[in-house]
Amino acid sequence: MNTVKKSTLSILLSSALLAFLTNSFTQAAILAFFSFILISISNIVYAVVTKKENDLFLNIIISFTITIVVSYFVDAFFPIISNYLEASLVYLAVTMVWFNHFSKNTGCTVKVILKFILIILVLGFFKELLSSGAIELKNVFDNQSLFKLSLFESYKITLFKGYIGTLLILSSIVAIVTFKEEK
Amino acid sequence: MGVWKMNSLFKKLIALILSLVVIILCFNLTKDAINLSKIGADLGNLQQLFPDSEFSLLENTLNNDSILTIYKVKDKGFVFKTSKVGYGNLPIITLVAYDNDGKLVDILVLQHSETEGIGTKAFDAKYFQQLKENKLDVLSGATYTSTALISSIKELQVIVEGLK
Repeated sequence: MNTVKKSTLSILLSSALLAFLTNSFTQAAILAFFSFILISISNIVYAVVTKKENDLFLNIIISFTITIVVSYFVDAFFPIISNYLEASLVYLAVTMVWFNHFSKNTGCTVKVILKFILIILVLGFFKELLSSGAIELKNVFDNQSLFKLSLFESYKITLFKGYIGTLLILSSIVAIVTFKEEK
Repeated sequence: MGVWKMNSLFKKLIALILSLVVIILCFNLTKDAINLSKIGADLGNLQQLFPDSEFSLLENTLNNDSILTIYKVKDKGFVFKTSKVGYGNLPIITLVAYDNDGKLVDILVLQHSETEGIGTKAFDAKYFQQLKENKLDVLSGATYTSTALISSIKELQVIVEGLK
């Protein structure tokens, strides 16, 4: 397996793992936004500091420092968002280390970050839709609904919530893609 | 080669020190704002326990996972935000208020997943009054819930003595 394929696979896996932590489309959107910002910042800083070679030690220091600093500022000025992010911050830091490591070899960071974000959003979307029969995007600051689409009234399948929900949706998407390719 | 290795090690050390400096600076910059925002989330509930009072956040140095936050109420006492496991291993989050003499003032249940009409019997004002009078008896029919409350109170009594 070549490096690009390896990196893409790792990105797909890490985004799917991050989606395990989401329970709603709103949470997925917040995670996607912060993933984009944090991964981009750490990638730029890492590229400037290490120039050409990969350095795991510096990679870890940069990624975790950025995560800790951002968590302080979010806790201080956006405590509501911190409730959505808290559980996923450490995982996001590990993801940043992955991105920095592979982007040195492949150089296709932006494209890969966008793929990563798209997967989180798609999984978050289907997770909420399949577990509640509706999709809702909320303004986290005042908890007001920005957009709501209710497809099936009084439909609820808790099986699609939590970890098992992500796994079910992920395997369904993989099955559909594989079936389409074979056809 | 040796010089290069030294150089690389030196760079890593500098990076580590720099990152620590950045973290400490940001911590100090945001410390007060974090305290304020933490109080902000509980302020309405704290004012129910001690109306017209001034609250500040005490540093939680206790090695106790069930005590989430400690608030000092100026000239009046302390409030502890606690999390104890109730029925079905699900958390019961409470605010427990003590006056400066170490007397239990009141309990406010913030979050729970106890069975309505069974476990929630332990949240009745009558049972709270019994706890305030230091009659720490398990409530029959709401064993898990009342045990969680009693264990929390017993732990806090010791802590309050130390804070007085």
